[in-house]
Amino acid sequence: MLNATQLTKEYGNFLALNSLNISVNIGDIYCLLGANGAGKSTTINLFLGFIQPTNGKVEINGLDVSQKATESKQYIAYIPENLMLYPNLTGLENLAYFAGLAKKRYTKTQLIGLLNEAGLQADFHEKRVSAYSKGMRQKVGIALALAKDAKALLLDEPTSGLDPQASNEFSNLLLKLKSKGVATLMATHDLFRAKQVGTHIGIMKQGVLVKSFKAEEVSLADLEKIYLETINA
Amino acid sequence: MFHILRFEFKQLLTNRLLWWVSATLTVSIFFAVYNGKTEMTSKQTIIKELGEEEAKRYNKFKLDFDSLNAGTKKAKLAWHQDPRTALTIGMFRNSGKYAILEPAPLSFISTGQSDIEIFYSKVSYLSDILQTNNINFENPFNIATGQFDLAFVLVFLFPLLVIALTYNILSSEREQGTLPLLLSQPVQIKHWLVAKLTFRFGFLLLTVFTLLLLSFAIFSVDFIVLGFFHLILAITLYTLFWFTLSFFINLLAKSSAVNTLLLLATWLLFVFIIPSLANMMATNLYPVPSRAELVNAKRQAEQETERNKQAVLTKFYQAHPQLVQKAEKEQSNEDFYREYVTLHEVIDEQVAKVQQVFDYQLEGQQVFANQFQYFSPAVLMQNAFNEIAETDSKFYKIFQKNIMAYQQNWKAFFKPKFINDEKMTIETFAQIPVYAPTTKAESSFSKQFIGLALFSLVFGLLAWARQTKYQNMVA
Repeated sequence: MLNATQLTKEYGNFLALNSLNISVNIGDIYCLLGANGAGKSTTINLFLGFIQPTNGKVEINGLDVSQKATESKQYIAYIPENLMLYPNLTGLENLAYFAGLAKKRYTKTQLIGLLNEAGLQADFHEKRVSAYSKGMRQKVGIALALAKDAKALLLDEPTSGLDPQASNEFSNLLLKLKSKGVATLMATHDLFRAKQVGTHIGIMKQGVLVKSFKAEEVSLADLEKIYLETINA
Repeated sequence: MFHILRFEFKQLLTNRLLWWVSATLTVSIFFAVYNGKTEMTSKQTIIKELGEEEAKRYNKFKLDFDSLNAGTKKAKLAWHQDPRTALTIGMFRNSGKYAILEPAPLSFISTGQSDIEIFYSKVSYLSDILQTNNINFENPFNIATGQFDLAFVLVFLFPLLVIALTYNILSSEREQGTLPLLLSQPVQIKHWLVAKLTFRFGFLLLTVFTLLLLSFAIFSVDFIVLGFFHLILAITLYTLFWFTLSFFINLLAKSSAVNTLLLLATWLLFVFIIPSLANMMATNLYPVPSRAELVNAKRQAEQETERNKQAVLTKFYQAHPQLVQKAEKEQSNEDFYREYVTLHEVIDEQVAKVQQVFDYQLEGQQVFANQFQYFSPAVLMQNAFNEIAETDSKFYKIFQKNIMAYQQNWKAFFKPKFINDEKMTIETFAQIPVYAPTTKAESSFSKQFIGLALFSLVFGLLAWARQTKYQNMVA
């Protein structure tokens, strides 16, 4: 579903990403770990088409993002570290607006159903987003992924700043999407969540994917050890 | 597209700025229309009063004329009041008919030159038709500050409202953090931006047109004229220009503060700096002699004629051998005024030469300023308004030419009567010339419309060129 082939990004003389090869299939949750500046967000931005690769290719559902930027976006949902919505609209209105941009039309009842599925409390559905916490906004993001019927989810440190309960709720939502066959690529610093929800884990350092393995192959303690050894090497 | 427009409407409704913009626009338009209409009504009242006064005066002449002819007039009239004397009807204080420039149906939309130019003149043999007849001078304070008319609202204030509604249309998405989510949707940012701008463009235009129609209805303006269609077209093109400019500046991907600064700087440039520069250059390139110089020249011509009086009169009597020059003490009133008219003709010729230089320089200024209009959409818009309102200087210039032609007719009619001491008859009374404009200025705003459309096209193209790079710049 998500494929990067020899993906390279340079900013002048700075090599942000070096020949990345990655493949996230249906039902996979690929967690990218790494220190700040390792190239995780660059990878996500390349999949989103926000930046153009210097070399290599990014594909979403077989579509080359460089050439079919707009079309490829109909298959993805994106949740950044701090998902922001229109503060003067309600969660319901925000959901309807962004789903509409993806040419998905729903009745009010259907939209409420999607917000419920994403776990947003009913009494907040029709409140302005300016009253929402970060966790609530993330849930609207998940509802949007459901509304778009997204085949892939791109997450950039989505649990950063969430309290443990909200973080746990978010993990459960990811597992729910996984069960629906959604392919997820998540950049994160949270080793615990990576181990908890991930099917695959990759560790990046200075723009290079230095380690990649299945999550089930390691324990949480091993993961932490491998991570620290890798980034300190 | 429709989906974006629907949500844009929802978002706008929650936008306090929009309500302020609408309120400001409403008050400004209503006040400007009221102001302009009051001014127009006052002119129409003056014109009506002039017509009544003229009719009353000439009716009295006619009545006196008839009763004197029939021998039924009881009270004795002084010779200068006797309507049988051509001098009474053609030259003295009570003589003269009005030449009037009727205000156009939409004249209230733009004051233009109407506050400094005459719109009527009492034309008689010796009346100083272009200078001293201007008894309806505008308050100098109003001339210095400008009138609060519809042109002022739409040329000067309206762009500020467009700026207020568009300056952050894209930057606010970046600043409030919604841009990444927006860009991750399968919609091209240019389409999204065009949809939003189109909605705001339509909304503002609809608001302006509704307010115009309402204010016209309330203040009883007859707007079912072709001019109204031109007014709508001018407003649409001018608004389109400000929107394309804003579209371009939004795509420069700067912050809201920078966008505001850039848009306000452009507004300042087009609305104030370029017109001032044009004015300054025109004044320096085509300096006009002062009015005082003109008055001085007139006095000098009078003195000169007085000095050469005998030579002028000798020439006159040589050309009219049937007349004999008499000593001052032996002259009848008719003899005196015959010479007075002759001398005045020479003075007029001298003054006309100075006036010609004055007019030439003024025209030079006007032509130069007209060329400069293509550097500023605001000037183009103001000129388009002046054309629609028929308050542009060309309308007054042609009116002045028509007055002068009328005075020439008047002189041609009365001069032989003065010289040959002919009396007025029933036939000649009916033949007294009336004002009939020989030429009529036509409104022509195609140049302004094309200019405005070109400005929109240039900024539209710049924006289009910019948007291709935009998708990569925003992340």
